[in-house]
Amino acid sequence: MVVVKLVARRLIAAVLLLLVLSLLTYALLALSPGGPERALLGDRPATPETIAAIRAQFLLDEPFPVRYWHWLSQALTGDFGTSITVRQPVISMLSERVNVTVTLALLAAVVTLAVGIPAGLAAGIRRGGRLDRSITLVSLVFLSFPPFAIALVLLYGFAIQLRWFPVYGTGDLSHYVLPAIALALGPAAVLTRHTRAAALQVGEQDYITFARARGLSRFGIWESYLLRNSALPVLTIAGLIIAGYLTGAVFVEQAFSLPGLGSLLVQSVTQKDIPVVQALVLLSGVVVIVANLLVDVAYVIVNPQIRQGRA
Amino acid sequence: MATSSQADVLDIAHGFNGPSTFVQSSVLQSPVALDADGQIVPQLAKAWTQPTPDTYVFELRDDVVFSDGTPMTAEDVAFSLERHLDPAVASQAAGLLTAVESVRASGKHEVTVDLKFPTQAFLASAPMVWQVVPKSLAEAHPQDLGTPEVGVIGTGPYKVTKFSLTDGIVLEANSEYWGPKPAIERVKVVAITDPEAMRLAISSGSVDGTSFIPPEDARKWTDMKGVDTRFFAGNSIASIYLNVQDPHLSDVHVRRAIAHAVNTEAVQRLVVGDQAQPAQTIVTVPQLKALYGDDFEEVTSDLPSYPYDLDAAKSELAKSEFPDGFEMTVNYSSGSESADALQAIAADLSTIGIEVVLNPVPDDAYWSTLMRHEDLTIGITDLGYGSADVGELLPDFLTSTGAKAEGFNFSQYSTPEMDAKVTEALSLTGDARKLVVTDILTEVADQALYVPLYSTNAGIALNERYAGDIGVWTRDYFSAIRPVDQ
Repeated sequence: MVVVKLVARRLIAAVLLLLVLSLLTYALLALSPGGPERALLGDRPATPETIAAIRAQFLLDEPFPVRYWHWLSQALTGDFGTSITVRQPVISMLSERVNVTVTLALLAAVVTLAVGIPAGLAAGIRRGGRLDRSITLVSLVFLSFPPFAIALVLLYGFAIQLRWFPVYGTGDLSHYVLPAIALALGPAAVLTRHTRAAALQVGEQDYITFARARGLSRFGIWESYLLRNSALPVLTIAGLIIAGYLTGAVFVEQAFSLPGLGSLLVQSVTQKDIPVVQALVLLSGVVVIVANLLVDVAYVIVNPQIRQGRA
Repeated sequence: MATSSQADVLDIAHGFNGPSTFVQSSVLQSPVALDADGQIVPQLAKAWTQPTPDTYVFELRDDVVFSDGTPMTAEDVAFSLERHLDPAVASQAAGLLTAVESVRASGKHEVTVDLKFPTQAFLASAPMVWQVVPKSLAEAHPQDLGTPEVGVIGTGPYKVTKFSLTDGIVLEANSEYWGPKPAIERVKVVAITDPEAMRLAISSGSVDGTSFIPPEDARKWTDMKGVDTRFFAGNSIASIYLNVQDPHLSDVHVRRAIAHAVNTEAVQRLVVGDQAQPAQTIVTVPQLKALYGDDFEEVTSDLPSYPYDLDAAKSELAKSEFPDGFEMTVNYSSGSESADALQAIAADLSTIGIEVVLNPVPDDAYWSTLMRHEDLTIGITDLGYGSADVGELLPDFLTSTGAKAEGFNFSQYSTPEMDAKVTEALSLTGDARKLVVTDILTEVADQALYVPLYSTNAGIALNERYAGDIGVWTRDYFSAIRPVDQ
C-alpha cells in the first residue's frame, strides 16, 4: 500500500515537473541569441524569399506563448514534431539513438556496480589496511581523470595497439565495452567511496559487534547486517549515477563516435533545433524521475522501517 | 569513408553542407559537371547552346535511367531546377539561382532555361545545385526529400541502399548507370566527429579514407604509416573584413593602415598552420586560375598591396582623421580558432595606436549578430566555394545584395557603380571579363575593403590499398577511387 501511494503521488508530481521543465527549456532556447535559421539556410547566402518562407514555416515570427502552445498541443497528442535541421520525425530520431544510449548506460551501470560496490565494501571492512589504501588511491586517480581522456587512452591502447575492440561506431556489444569502461570508471570511483563510507559507518554499529560476539559467520554478518544496512546511501548514489549515464555521456559518445542521445542534445542545442531539444529534455526528465522513483521504491523494499512508515 | 559529421539530408535543397554533398555527388547528377580543370562539361546533357545571352538550351542524353529503372525525362530535369525557385521548398540552393527566370521542358530530350539577366554564374553553379531527381518524388516531398524516411533516387554511379543518421550510409554501384561502372562496388560512409578518433580510425585501417582533415593537424596525418595523405589548393578564401560603415573604418587611410599592420603570415600560422597558400586578393586561387590561366599571379601582383610594415601603417594612419589612433571593439566567437589570430592582430594594431578591445561572444550569439550585420568592425571570415567561376564569389563580397542581412558582404561596401561592375563581370566572357574583374579587384585593394589572408588547402587521406585522382574539382569521390591492385 505504501508503495502504491508513493508511486501515485510521484506520478502527479512528475507530470507537473515535466510541464515546468518543457516551458523552461522552450523559454531558455527562445531567449538565447540566434535561431535555427543558420542551420536551415545552409552554408550559402540565402534569398529574402527563402528566409521569409522559413520564418513562416517554423513560426519564428510568432510571439513566444503562441509557439510554445503550438508545440505543447502537438506534444500532448504524442506528436513531437519534425527536426528542423535534418527533417526527420523527432520520435524516430530518438528511437534510433535510444538503443545506443541504453546499451551503453546498462553496460556502464554493470561495470560501475560490479567494480564500485565490492571495492567499497572491501576497503570499508579492512579500514586502514593496505587494500583500503590501494583502493582509495586508485579511486582517487579515476575520479581525477576526465572521461574523454580515459576514452582516448583506452582507444589508443585497446583498439589501435592491441586491436581487441573496434575503433568507432555501433554494432555488436564489443563496440560498447571501451565506451562503457571510459564512462564508468569515474562514477565507479564515486560509488566505491560512498560504499566504503557506508560500510565503515555500519561496521561501527553495536549490532555488528554484537553479531560478532554471538559468533555469527562472517558471511552471515555480511548478508544479514552489513549489506542491507549500507544499501540505502549506496542505492541513492547508484540511482543518480545510472540516470546520469542515460543523459550525460556526451564526451564519451563523441570520442567513440557513438550516435547517442548526449551528442544529439549538444548538436540540437547549438543548432536551436527546438523540437529535438524539447523531446530530449523531457526524456531526460522522465529518466531522472523514474530513476528516483525506483530508488525510493527500493528503499521501501530494503528497509522495513520505511515500509512501516516509522522512519 | 568517413565524414566529420553525419551527412543528414541527401538533397541539395536542405542538405547544402560538406558531409551531405560528399555523398550526394556520387548519387545525384546534373546536366553539366566539372572536369579536372574546373571547366563545365556535359553530363546528363549531351550538349548545350546559348541562343541568346540569357537563354540556355540543354540537349539531354536519351539513355539515362534512374536507379529504380524509370527513364529520366525532360520534365524530371526541368522540375529538378524549378523546385529550388519555389519559396515553399525554402531551398538552401536558391541563393545561387536568383538569376533563373524560368525552366521548361522544351522537347522530348530538351530543357530550356531563361535567365533574368545574362550571367556566367548560372552555368557555373549548375553542377552543384541542379541535382536531377524524379519529378514525382520531388513533388511529393518538397520538404523531406533525401531524408532517411523518404530517401532519394538519382542517375549517378551509386545508389543509396541504407541511410541512417546513426549507423551511416551504404551506397552500392547502380546497375542501371549509363556511364562506366565504378571500381568499388560498395561504399560505407560513417561519421566520426572527434578529429583524433577519426585519425586513429584511418590509421588503424578500420576506415579507408576521408576528405575531412583539419589543416592544423596536417603533420600528424602526413606522418601516418600505411595512409597516403595529400593536400591541394582549396577553393576557399580567408580574409579580414573592414566595415566601411564604422565611424573609424569609413576612413580609407585607417583601413590601409590596418592592412599594413596585419601580419598575414602570422595569422595564417595561428589559424591553419602550414597547409594554406597566402592570398593576394579576395578571389580563390582555383577561381583565379580558371579566369586568368596559370599566369594569374601576373595580375594579382599588380594589384595595390599592403605588405606588413608598421612604419608604413603609422604614416597611413597619420594621413587619416584619427592620426593619434582610436579604440575599437571587436566581437569574436569564443570557440573559434581565430581567437589567437585576433589577439596577434590586436597587438600589432596597438603599436600604431589603434586599441582593439576583444569581446568574446558565445558561438551562436556571434553568428547571429554577424549575419544580421550588427556591431561589425573587423573580423576574420573563411568562405568556401563550389565552382571555378568568380561570379559565385564577387556578389557575396561586394554587392548591395550581399550587404543585406544574411549576406556575406561584411565590409558593407555597396555602391551602384560596384553593383554595375559585378553584374557586367557576370555577363561577360573572355578578355573583356578579365578586364572588368581586374578593375573590380583593383578597386577592392585600393579601398582596402578586405585584407586577403590565405586559401586553406583541402586534403584527402586514403589507405595505401586505394588510389584516386582527386583534386579541388572532384565531386564524385567514390567513383574516383580504385583499389591499387586493379
